[in-house]
Amino acid sequence: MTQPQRGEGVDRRTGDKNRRVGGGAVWSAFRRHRLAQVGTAILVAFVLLSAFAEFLSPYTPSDQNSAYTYAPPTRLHFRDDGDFRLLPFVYKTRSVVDPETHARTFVEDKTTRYDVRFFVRGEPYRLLGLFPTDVHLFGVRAEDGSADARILLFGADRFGRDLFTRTLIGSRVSLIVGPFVILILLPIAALAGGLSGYIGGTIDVVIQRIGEGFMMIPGLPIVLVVGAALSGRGLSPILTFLAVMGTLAIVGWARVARVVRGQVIALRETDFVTAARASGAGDLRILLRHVLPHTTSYLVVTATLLIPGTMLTEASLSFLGYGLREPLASWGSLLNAAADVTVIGQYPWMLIPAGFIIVSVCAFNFVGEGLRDAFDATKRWRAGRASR
Amino acid sequence: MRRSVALTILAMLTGGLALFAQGYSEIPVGAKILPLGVAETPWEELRPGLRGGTFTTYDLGNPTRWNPTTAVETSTTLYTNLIFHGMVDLNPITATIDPALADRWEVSQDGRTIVFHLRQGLCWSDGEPFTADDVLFTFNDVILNDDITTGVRDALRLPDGTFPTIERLGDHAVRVTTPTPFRPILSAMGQKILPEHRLAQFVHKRNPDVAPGTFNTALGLDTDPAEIVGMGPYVIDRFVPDQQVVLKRNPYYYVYDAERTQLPYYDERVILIVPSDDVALLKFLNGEIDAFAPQLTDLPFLMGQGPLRGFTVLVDPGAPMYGTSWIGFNQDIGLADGTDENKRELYRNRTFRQAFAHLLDKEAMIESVFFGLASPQWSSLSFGSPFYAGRETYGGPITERDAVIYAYDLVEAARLLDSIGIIDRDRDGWRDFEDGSRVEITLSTVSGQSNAEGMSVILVDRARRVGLDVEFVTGDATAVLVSMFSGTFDALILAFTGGNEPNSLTSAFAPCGRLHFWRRSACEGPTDVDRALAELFAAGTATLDDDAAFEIYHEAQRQIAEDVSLIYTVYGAFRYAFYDHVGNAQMANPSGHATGLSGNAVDFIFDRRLAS
Amino acid sequence: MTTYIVRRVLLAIPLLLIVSFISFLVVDLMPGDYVTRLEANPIISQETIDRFRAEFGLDRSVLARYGRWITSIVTRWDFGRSFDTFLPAFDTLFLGNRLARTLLISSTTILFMWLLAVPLGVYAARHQRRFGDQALTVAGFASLSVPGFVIGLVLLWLLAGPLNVGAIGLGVGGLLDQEFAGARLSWAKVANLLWHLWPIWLVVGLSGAAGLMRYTRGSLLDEFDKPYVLTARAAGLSDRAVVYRHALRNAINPLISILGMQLPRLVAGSLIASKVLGLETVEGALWNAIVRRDPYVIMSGLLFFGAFLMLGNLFADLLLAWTDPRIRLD
Repeated sequence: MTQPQRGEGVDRRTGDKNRRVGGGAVWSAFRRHRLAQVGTAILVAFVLLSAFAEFLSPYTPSDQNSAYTYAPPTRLHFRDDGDFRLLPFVYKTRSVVDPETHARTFVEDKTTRYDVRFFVRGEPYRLLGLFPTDVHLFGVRAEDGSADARILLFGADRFGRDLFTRTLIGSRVSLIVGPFVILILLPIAALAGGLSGYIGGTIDVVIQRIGEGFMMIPGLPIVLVVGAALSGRGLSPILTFLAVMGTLAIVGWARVARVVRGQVIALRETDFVTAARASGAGDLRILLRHVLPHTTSYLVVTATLLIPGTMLTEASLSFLGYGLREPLASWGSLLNAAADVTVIGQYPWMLIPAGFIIVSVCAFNFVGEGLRDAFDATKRWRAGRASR
Repeated sequence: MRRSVALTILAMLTGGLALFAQGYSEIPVGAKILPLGVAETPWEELRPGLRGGTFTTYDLGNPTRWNPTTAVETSTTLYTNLIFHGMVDLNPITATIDPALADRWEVSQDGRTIVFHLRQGLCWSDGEPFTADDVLFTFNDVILNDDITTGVRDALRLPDGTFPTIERLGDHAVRVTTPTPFRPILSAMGQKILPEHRLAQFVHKRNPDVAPGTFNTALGLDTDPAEIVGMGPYVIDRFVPDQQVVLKRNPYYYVYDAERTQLPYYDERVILIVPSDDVALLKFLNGEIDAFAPQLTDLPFLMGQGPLRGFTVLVDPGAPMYGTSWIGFNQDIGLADGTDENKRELYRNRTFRQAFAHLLDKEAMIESVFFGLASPQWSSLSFGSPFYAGRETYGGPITERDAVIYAYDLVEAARLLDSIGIIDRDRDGWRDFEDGSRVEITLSTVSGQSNAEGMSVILVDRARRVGLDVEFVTGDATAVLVSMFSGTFDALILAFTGGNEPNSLTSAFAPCGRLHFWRRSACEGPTDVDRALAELFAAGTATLDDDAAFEIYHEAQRQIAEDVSLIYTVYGAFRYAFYDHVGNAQMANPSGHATGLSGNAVDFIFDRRLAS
Repeated sequence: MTTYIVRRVLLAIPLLLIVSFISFLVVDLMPGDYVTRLEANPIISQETIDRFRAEFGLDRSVLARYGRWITSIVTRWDFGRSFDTFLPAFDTLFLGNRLARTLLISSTTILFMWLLAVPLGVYAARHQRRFGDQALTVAGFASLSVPGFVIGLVLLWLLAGPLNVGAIGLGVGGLLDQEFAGARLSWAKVANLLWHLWPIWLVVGLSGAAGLMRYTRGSLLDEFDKPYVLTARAAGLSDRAVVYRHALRNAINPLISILGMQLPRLVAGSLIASKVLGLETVEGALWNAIVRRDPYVIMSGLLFFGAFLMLGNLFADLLLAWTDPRIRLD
């Protein structure tokens, strides 16, 4: 069997002759991975939704209206009395309270019609944080300006706030939190694992012991305690939240460091490292400029795979009330309001943010899988190395 | 022959003992008769019942101890109210003070002495006789004993810091003396009486062999139920942690109905320990729980199910539960370090507070936060108290005469703000101080309590409409309390639990009161209102005439409302669901009812199904 | 082997000490203390509050309190008392059957995870890229991505609402129905227990099971690449024999190494389950203590879970050494 040249090889499992190797190979393998495609597409879509959240939402997250308590999603119609209309519209909804059961039902008033308009003027905001404007993608407006015209695509919560708007705005925190935690965790883990593996000796032992200590800290309870410790100290809610999430990073670095250490130990003996050492380069320099970059593949994959777990933890924390608190919103905290059997039974649209969590976590998982498969596939062809 | 004689004697003895262990052989002399169903009494709406059956309710979380004196929370009092009784009690229907273990009392002319006459012929749940020694032990050796750490003692503390003197006047009478008349002393004497013969051994003063303070840990969860002896309707049968507490009938309970049936009717009370309101709802629907206090969001669902499953849901939008919900501004903000002068002046300005009061859209709050099941509040006393200022007289009908109400009026709020110089100076849409800096108010509340959060959401919106920048933040319960007591908050929206006795207002509204948290500096420099209130409170405790006291407290509540140091919001109504097979159930509401007594401790509910 | 175990345990003790000190500091950082809730009661006087504080030792400095606590552990094995019940801290955490219940939940969940994941992972690997594998991949990812509390909420609603299991007794809210609580062991009791356990398994273990399934599949596929497998197939061994008798045994090893990583997730999942499904577990008791600022119970709880994680990791390492002869304990 001929040695695969740079840029070509044979996939032993499928006999595919078109496999490539090297950096470009990783990218093309990733691109072909079907799940990764789906995942990337979803993530890009969510990032765009998140960035343009104010533009895409008809209202602001705190815009409340007590007449719309727990209103169901507004129905879009295209057909009015048999006439088909090009643009969708909604009917005016009235709430009727049953005097005996105090149950509130929403009834469509088919005599009044509000057209859905596009590019309407609404609450002012800064597009992408930079450009002040007040244009929203869509909205409804009553001629007389009354508040009876409301388009609630995902329904409303207990205070009549539009769940669609809150979900979109909430996506910002939910999507940022994973990368934020990972960006703190990875450098710590890489440095600790790298030093530990490269220098060895006492430093190795010390770092490993410290790491074991950190691995014994029960994650969620400690984060809860920190969350309780930080609340009410006059810190802004967002800062408190970030500190709580930071704790997650501090609690979790040890495991990643351990694997980095293993990789670094293996890399320590390779030719290029010996060469660098012979040329008189310092340990730290070698570590940072030569060794760690070769662990990138592992780190990238780990990062993408740690993000889903972090997102789920944030959702759980916010759900429990110790993560992001009112009036800020993340998908997890939006679900806190749905944590009631009667609420789910009567107002199931309150669970919509759960769907967003599931889809975005799935997407991160797909991307991570795709990256891992891509790196693994190329690893197989590295001359002289087994796949594990 | 001798053997059979011995056996017979043994049988008679055990038989006699067995009889003895099962309660009174005949109705005791001093028994309390409850005239259930008797016309022309407050009890006329209720019905007498039959003995038997089990009544099941619930509690969130385990009990922490069985000790009524060292109890600090309601999870304990739920049980101690069933096991122990005091000399006096609150009538659940009229909210007046009823005789319990004492059947009558006499107040001296000068109001400084009360003589309580205890019922005669009563026994503890283990058969030992109940005498004045138990009362003296409870008060002198336990409650007023410095060795023992208890919050109950403070209920007996007189305005000058001293305590009443309690003396024995014979086997069945005690005398309570105070240096000056103190009206609340009567209800304060309603503390649960403890059995001397069982508990004296834990008190160092009576038993030098034990360390001082041993009583603090007595009657803990590890106590054998047979040792827990009381005068209440039930005793503990068993406690299964995280599952349930089972109580069984006290054979020596001293209350009988008009037909001479000994109460309580239910043989057994079971309290299921449930971890959350959700699970409680599910168990109620299941039929495992007989009486239930629903959350607001449960109501529409429950009301539809009621007729199908055989239970009734009672709501009365006009009857709010005990408690007050309010907004308070930190009038001492920045005082310690000399900052925030602007805000401090603003918060101390009554006109500002009045303007803010006009921003409260109570209708919207009631509609959207409480589903219509709440009432607006203006007074610092609970609606159900006989001293509530909206009443005509003490305990009289509620007419809201002279009520001080700040109507929801954005125009008026804006006008008042304008009048004190809080206007939008830089045309950015938000009001500013005289120096041009924006007025920014941070309103904190406890997270997870959606009522306060809901009210805040609406308030923030209304404030925005007049250009006032209010931001609300939430925090952990303890953290918020700490900020309240240390004066580090900006504005708070919180609630106090309520009660009948207006003297409890002293702690909050007297200038040096421990709960006068919004302006501690008032202790050194009281305002006119502070001084007026201090005088009113002193007068209110000095008179023993309830009607005279009513007028005094009426005036106090009005002044508090006009000063708006605390701006009152809305409070949720009583809501209650119970199965139709529970007789007299309307008085067994777990969250209490209009007269304040927790419905968990009633002894006259019964199982309707037994009649057939 | 024994020396290894002893050495690990001894090494863990100073680590546990550090964990305890960190917990102490963090708990102390929390604003307010146990007595703060009392302060909101209008009847109680400042004098009584100060007294309560002194009684609980809350008026002393952090180091003094920590020192006293550690000393009491070392000399009297006394981990402090709960301020709620005045019972010893561990008695409060383990009230009644909590410890047994928690261990039962943890162990059965791990069993559930493995019994679900491994067979499905094997199936997926054997039918790689065919419909079964693809379906399992999608299902696996979906399960990985659902937060435990969502599963719990939906289950709760399903059981109470549409499925309306009211008559049989709810599958949630405790491990046994009323009638079986004190009863003797019987088939009916076991059935009732399982009926209560399966929602818990889903809440705590579903995502872990999904992850484990993916790992199993991947690990097995890697084995399939190895020379000895090709040899075995060439020698005419049936696919079943190859997979189950040879490949699987080697594929399991990496899985055991991640067993240790499953444990913290188990603790977190139990906490969520106890909140949503209404169970009283040790995690739930710890949470209550955090809310109520009951310091000794909080610290004892954190210590307990630290020890739990340590022992779990030790057990996983031992298991790995036992199954994989190449690994030497050092």
